[in-house]
Amino acid sequence: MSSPNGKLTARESNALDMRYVFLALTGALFVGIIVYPLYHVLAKSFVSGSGLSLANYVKVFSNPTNFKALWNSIWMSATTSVIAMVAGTSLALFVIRTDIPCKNLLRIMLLMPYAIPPFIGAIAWTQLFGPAGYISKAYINLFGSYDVPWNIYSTGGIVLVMAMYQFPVVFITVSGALGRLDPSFEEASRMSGANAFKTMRDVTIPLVMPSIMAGTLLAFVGAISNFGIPALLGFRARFYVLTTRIYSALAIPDMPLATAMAVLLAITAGAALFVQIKFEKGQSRYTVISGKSVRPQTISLGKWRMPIFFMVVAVSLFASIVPMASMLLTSVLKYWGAPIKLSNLTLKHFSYVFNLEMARRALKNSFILAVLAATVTMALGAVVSYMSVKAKMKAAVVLDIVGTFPYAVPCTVIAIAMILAWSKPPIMLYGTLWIMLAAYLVRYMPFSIRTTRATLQQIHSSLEEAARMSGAGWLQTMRHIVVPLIKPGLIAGWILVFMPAFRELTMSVLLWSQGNETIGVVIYNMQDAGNTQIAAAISSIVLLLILVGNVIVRKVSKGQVGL
Amino acid sequence: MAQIVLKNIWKSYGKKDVVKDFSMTIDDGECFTFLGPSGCGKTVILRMIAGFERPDRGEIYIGDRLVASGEKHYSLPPESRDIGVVFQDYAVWPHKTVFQNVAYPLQIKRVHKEELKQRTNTAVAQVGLKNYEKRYPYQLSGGQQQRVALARALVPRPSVLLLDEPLNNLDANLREEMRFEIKILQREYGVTVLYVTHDQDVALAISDRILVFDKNGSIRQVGRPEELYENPNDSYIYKFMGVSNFLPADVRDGKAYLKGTGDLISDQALVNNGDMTLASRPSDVILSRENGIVAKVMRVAYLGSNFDYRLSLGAFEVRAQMDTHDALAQRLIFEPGEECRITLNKITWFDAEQAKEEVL
Repeated sequence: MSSPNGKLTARESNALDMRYVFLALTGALFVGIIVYPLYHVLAKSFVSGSGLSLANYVKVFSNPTNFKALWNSIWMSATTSVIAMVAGTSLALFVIRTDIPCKNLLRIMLLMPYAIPPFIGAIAWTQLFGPAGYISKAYINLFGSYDVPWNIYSTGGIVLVMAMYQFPVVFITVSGALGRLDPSFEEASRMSGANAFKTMRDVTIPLVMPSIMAGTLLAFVGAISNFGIPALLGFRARFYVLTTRIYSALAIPDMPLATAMAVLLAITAGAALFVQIKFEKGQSRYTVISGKSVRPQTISLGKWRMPIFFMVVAVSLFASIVPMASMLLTSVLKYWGAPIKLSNLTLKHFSYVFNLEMARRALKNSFILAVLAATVTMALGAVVSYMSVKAKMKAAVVLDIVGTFPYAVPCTVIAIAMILAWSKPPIMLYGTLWIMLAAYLVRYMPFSIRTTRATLQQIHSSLEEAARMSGAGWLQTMRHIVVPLIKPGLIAGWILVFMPAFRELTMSVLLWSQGNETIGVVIYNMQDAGNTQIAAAISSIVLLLILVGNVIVRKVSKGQVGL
Repeated sequence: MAQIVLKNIWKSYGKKDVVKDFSMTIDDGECFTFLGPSGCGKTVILRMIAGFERPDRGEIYIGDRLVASGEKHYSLPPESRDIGVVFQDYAVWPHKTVFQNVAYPLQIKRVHKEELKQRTNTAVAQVGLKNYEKRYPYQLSGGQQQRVALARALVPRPSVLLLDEPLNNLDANLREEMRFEIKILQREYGVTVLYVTHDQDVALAISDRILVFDKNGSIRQVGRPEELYENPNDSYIYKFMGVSNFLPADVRDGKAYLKGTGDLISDQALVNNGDMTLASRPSDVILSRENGIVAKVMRVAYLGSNFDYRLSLGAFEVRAQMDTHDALAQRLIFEPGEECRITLNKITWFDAEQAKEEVL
C-alpha cells in the first residue's frame, strides 16, 4: 500500500494520504486520552513521598478496613455471580428451550434490568424492601408483626440486588449460545435413547458450559466494578468494598491510597476478564458459525409447565416492572410513607425538580456530555474500524486493541486515572465538566469500536469495489455506498453510548464538582441526603428516556441491537 | 475495444509467490477464460487488472494505456480504468433499487438526465429485468441480482469486462441460461471479456480462448476450447476437461498391452515403445459381449439418457458411458458382477512419468 517514491496518480495518492492522516490523528488522540492516563494509575501507585515504593500497597494491606474492602469485593462479587449463574442459566433454558407460554415477552422483560442503571434499581429496591418500603409495610399489615425478617441495608441485600442486575449478562450469553447450538447434537442424544431431561443434563448444558462460565465471569466483573449498589445499601451497614473505599479515600483526600486500591481493583477485574475470554473462545468450537437460524427443539415440561411459568413471570416482574412502578409511585406520592390513595397523588415533586436549578443544570450537563461522548466515540470508532476491517491497515489493528482495552478497566479506575492525568498543568480539567467527558470517552470507546466493527463486517468489500469499478473515487464510494449502508448501525451505536453516558454514576461521582453535576450524581446525592421522592422523580424521568431510547434503537436497527 | 497485455507479472503475499512471471495478451473483443483450481492465483490476476491489487513487478496495459507497473510503483485507480466487473457475490447495493444500481456508473460520469434514463432502461431491458426497475435487491432472486450486476457493469460501455466466477452461486439451469446471455451481450457490446472460473463446462461454452492453470499457478495450455479438448498438452489438461480414464500401457511396435497383463488394448498405438499412459473418455469405452478385453461390472448407475458403468480391469478401474437407446436396442445392459468386454474407441497417449505424478 505504501509508496516509497510517491509515483502515484494524484487521486490515489490523495486517498492514501487522507487515510493515513485520519489514522495518525486518531492514534495521537488515543495515546493522549487512553494510554497516558491509564499508565499514570499504575505508575503513581508505586510512588510514595519522593521515590518508588510499595508503601501504598503496604497501607492497603496493613489497614484492616482497606484489606477487608478487597476481601469483601471478592466474595460479594463471587456470591453474586454464582446466584447470577444459576438464575441466568435456568431462566435461559426455560425461556429458550421449553414450552412455557409468552416466551418472547418474558425474554424482553428479563433483559430489562440490563437497561436500568443499577443505582436507580438499588433505590427502587430500598423503596420496596426498606424499613418503610411498600412490600415491608404490606408484610407487616398482613402478619401483624412489628418488623420484617429482612434488612435491605445489609450484605445480603447488596448481594441480592446486585444479582438482580447481573443475571441478565448470564442470561444473554447463555441464551445466545443455546440459539446458535446445532440442534442435531440434541436430536442425536434423543435418538440414542436419552430423554429430554437427560439430554439437557448430558448434552445441552455441557455444550454451553463455556458460555455459562463466560457469562458468570462477566457478572463477577460487573459486580466488583459497581459503585451504586454497595454505596446506597452498604454505607449504612458499614459494609465497604473497593469501589466505595476508593470513594471515601478520595473524600479525605488520600490520593496514593485510592490509586493503590484502584490498581488492585483493576487487577482483579482484569484477571476475571482474561479467564472469561478463554471461555468465550472455547464456546466457538461448539456453535454453528453459519448464522443460519436453527430452530431449536422445545422440551415439553408437562405438569411443571405452569408452575415454572409463574416462577419465571415472578422473576421477570421483579426484574422489570416492579422496580419501575415503585419508582414512579414514589415520585407521585405526596410524602414518603403516605398511604396509597388517589387523594395522596401529586405531581409537585416533578414541578419541584423542573424548577430546581441544580436539577436543570444536571440535565443539561448530562445531555451535553452524553451527546459529545456518543458523537466523538462513534466518529473515532468508525475511523478505526474502517481502517482495520476494510482497509486492513496494520496500524489500525493496534488502535483497535488500544481503544478496546478500557473495557477491562473498572470505571472507578478510569476516574482515578483522569484525576491523576488532568489535574495538573499543562491540562487542568479537574473541577470542570470536561474531565467527565474525558472519562466517558475512555469508557465508551470500546463499545463504539465494537458496534462499528460489527456493522462494517457485514458489508462485503465487493460492494465498495463495485462502486470503484463504476467510476467512483474513494470519497464518493464512502459517501454513496459505505455511509448509507452503515448509517442504521451508526445511529443505533450512538444511542447505545448516549444512554449509559446520560445516566452514568460511578465515574461522575468521583469527578463532579459544584456546578458540574450530572443526573446520576444528583440522584445519588438526593437519595443519600434522604430526599427519596426527589430522587425518584428524577429517576423516573431517566427511566422514561431510557425506554424511549430503546424503542428507537430497536426501530433503527430492525431489532438487531438493543439494551 | 481494447486488448489487455500482462507483462512479466509477479505478486506475492508475505513469502508466498502467488503469481510468478505471468505474461499474456488478451485480444481486443475476445472472450478469454482463466481456468484453474482455487488458489492458483487467477483471481489475483483479475484483481490486478481491475486495480484492487498492484503487481510487485511487471506491467499491465489496457489498450495502449499503462495501468499498473510494479517497478514504477504505479497503479491507476480502479475507477479510472474503464473496466466493468461482475463479482461472484453480485455486490448489488442493498440500499439502491435496480434502476439506481444500474444508473450509478452513469451518475458518477455525470451523464445527462435524459440519456442516463434511456441508457439505464436499455441496459435493464437487455438483461431481461424490464418492470423490475423499482425493486430492491432483497426482492430479487440470485439470478436476477446477477443480471443487475451484469447490467451495471455494462452500462458505462467499458472496453473491458471482468467476470469473477459470476455463475457460482446460481443453480444449474440458471447457470446455463446466463452463460448464453453473457455470450450474447459480449457480442452485442463488442467488449473484451476476461472470465475467471474453475468450472470447465462454462469455460468450454463461452470462451474464444482458454488459459488453464495448475494449482501452482503455472500456465499449462492456452488455446481454443476444442483444441484443449481434442489435443491436450498433457494428462493434466485432459483430466481437467472432463471425466477421464487413465490406464498404464506397455507399447511394443504399435501394439499396446495393459500393463502387467497380456491384454491387447490397441493395435494402433503410433507412439514410442515402452511405458505409456493412455487416456480415454467414458463415452469412448465401447461395451460388448464378444469383442475386446474382459472387464467386470462393479456398479451401474442409470442416468436417464445413458448408463454409467464402473468396470474393473484387473487392478484398474474404468468408467464407461452407454447411450440408453443403443443399450436397449442391442440388449447391452449389464448387472453388477457380470462380465463384459470393452474396446477403446479414441485413445490419447501421454508420457507415463508425467501422468504418474499428476493423474494416476
